[in-house]
Amino acid sequence: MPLPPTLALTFLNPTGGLIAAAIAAPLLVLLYFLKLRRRPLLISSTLLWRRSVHDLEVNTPFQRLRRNLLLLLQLLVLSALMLAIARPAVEGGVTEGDRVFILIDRSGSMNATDVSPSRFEAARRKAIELVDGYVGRGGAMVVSFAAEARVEAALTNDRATLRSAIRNIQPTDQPTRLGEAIELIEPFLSPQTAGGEAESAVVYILSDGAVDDPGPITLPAGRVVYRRIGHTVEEAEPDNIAIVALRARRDVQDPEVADIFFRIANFRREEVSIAVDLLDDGQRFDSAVLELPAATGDGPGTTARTKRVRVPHETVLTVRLDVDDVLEADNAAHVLLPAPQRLRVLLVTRGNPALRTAIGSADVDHLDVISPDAYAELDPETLAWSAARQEGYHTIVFDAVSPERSPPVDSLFFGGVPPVAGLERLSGEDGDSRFQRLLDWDRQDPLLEHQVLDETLFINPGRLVLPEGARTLMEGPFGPVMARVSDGRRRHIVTSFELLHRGGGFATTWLRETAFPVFITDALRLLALGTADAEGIATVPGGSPLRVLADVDLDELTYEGPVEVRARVQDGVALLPPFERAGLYRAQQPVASQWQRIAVNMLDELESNPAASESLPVRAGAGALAEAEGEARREVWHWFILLALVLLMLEWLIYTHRMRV
Amino acid sequence: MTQAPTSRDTAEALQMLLTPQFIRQMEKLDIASRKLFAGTLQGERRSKQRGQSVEFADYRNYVAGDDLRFIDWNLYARLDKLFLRLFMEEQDLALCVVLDVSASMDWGDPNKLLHAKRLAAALSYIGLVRFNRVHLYAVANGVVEQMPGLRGRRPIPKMLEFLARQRPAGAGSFPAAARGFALGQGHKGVVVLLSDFLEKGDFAAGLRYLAGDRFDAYAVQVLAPQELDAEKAELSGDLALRDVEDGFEAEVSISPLLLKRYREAAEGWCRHVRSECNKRQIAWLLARTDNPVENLVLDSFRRIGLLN
Repeated sequence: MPLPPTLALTFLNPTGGLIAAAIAAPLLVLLYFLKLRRRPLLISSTLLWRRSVHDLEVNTPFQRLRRNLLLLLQLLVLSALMLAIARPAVEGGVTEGDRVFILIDRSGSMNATDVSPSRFEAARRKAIELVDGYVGRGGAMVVSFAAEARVEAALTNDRATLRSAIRNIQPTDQPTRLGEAIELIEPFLSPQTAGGEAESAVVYILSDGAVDDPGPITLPAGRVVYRRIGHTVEEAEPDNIAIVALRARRDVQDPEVADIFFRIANFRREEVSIAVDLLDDGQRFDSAVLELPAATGDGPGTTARTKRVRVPHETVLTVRLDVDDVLEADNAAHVLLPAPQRLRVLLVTRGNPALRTAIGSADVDHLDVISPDAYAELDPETLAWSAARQEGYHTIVFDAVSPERSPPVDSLFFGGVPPVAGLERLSGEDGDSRFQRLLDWDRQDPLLEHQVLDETLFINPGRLVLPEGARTLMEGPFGPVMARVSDGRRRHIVTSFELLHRGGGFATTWLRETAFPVFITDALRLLALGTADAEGIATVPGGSPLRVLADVDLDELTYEGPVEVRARVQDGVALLPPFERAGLYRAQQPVASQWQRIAVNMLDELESNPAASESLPVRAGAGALAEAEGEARREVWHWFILLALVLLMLEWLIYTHRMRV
Repeated sequence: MTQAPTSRDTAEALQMLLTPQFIRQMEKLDIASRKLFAGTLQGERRSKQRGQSVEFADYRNYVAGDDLRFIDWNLYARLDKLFLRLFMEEQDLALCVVLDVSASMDWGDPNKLLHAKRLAAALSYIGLVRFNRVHLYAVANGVVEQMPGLRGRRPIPKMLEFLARQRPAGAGSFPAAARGFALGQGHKGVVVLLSDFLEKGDFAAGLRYLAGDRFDAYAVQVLAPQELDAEKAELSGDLALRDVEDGFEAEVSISPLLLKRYREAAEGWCRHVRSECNKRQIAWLLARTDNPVENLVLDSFRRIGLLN
């Protein structure tokens, strides 16, 4: 249970206050007696007065002092000022140090509700308290951190700016990387001298201590104050059950069947049985009660399950726990399972059995072969795949054909080019039948990552003249021989070399290699679907940016979900920023089908652990790791200045009142 | 040079004091003495001495040298022996009125000095009309001025003039004044001291000069109401009270408690003066200046036996 805030007053500079009081208080009393303006009055004899005053003094020492309200008030004013000099501070709030760095953890575990209303909210309040109590001169800086750190407010003394920056921080479901935040503030930590005076830096870390960084982080200077938010195992029973793993994959043999694998972790220190629902596009199709072992000192009690399910369509599979615990985000996880692949391919060729065999082996559902003349007579627009009519082709392969009009779908060209401005294919000289090797190829590109082309030979590979923005995939002796180009609507893969030479023989040894069918398979899948995997698709909050292929006419792509996500589209590609919240996102504009919905899952055992940590792997200089500090002290000297002012006013009022009498 | 306001009206005030009605009332009074003193002149007072008067006292045998005028010839005729008729001697009484004119007396409302002068005038008047010898002394730090040996109605204006003339004469010292008076006064008789007795020195030392058989002393302590109760002076705040005589300052901050203490101190001082006087058979009377002179003369003085 959190302790009630105490109002114990402590003094940060008691010696200074004592010295000042020792000098000033007797001085005031002395001045009072020396300077007191007494009204002179002539009387017959002071005999009786002396006797009475003497009586008074004998009876009660310091009676004169006590009887004098003005002096009393002056002494009070003085003592208030002395107390202010002694720098009084109350427990709670802050803030010491000339420069203050407030690091706010906004990772997934901070959404736990063991602290009302949530750890993140509590951290935000603490941060505002810190700002309110800040009295230094060097300014304060607010940094939020989760998967990545962000400066929310640069060093400033403007409390309004700091407060509004703190209020604008939003929680995430991301993992915690404190190191990044430390790196951000590091340049400001080094002791600087302003007017010859070294500034002290204090780094307040408002976190639950669930930090993902490897090894301790060392601060070059300054002091670390770890303000723990949330309860430790000792303070409160951990109460969370989380999905920590989820995968789905279509069967290689029977793509209509998928296997779902998930693991559930129990952080409670008791065995629990829990209802787990499986949903297919939001419809529950399976429900089970799982027994979870109790958590031990080594970690949570976990149980894993695999479920085989028939899903002949594209779907989002969801695992949902029916549980009420402190962390909501890890009670459900989604995975997008693409439809079983049914590739429809059109091959335009004058006859190339090797290519046809290669395409046929690439798990293609439907392959049509036509001659270039027949292709020229077709309306290209009718060739594009239409899900409504269930006809058309996902992709077209041109073999030694350069069509007059751009194809309506992403296509593969061998020894030919689409009509793209600036794109030109220069064939090798006739009669020169020398074999050429490739100089280089792009091993990073998913299309060629499985290819080993050191020994592959090409006869008269020619070269490509590429437009701006094209990406070279293979480099021949005379220039690019394979590239990815865009005609503004569609992306194509083009080669300068032909697969067969005029005589009908193989123009490259590639055709004979097993790598060639692999290339065809990858190329067709990439062109048709953008991916070459049967794995269910899901990402994590704070992962790497996601490349989404959208309609080329789009300017901006919007996803609706737990929070709205916007990304600018350039040349049909949108780069989605790392997701902040877990959940299911839906594209509001047309995009390739596998990005229509994006599943984002926390699946992080560290973030799901509801126990706050007593220490942080951060040390300042060669000091020990930062331990959780209780309530820090907040200086309240200004209250005493105010009190002194009020007393001064009171004294003035009494003085003027007396003067009138 | 303008006269002090306290003294300016003294003559008039003394004239007013002797209003016909008050004079008539005073005519019935005489100075009393608890002791019998020998006079120098014949007066209206019985003395221990046999002397010339109409009141027969005794007979005694004639011895040679006696005045032949007092031989009772009728007895000689009957008894053939010479007897001398003795008569009670009637003598006058010495009344010394000692007026304190130290600076402290010139204070208060009503003014203490004026009040004391009125009392002195009344007593002197009574003394004069009863054919006592009246000696007037003005004392401060010793005897300032004196007017001895007044007798009969004729010097009444002189007496009034003397009193009217008295001004505050600076710092006073009661022992010095009493000493100066006692040593300079050759006559025995009634002594009336009119003073505030606010004496910082050895007050009792002064009283010693007045004790004993030579004098029948009366101490009349004249105090203003403000002196007895400082609350009446309406003081407030922080004050530097300056002694009008020695210039010493007492710094006080007025508070109800202090005022209470002052009242107690004033009462205590009066008690102290009274007990010191009583110890030496000196009658003591407090004459508040807000108590009219008529009251004091016709009532209070009679009660303590100064007048009858």
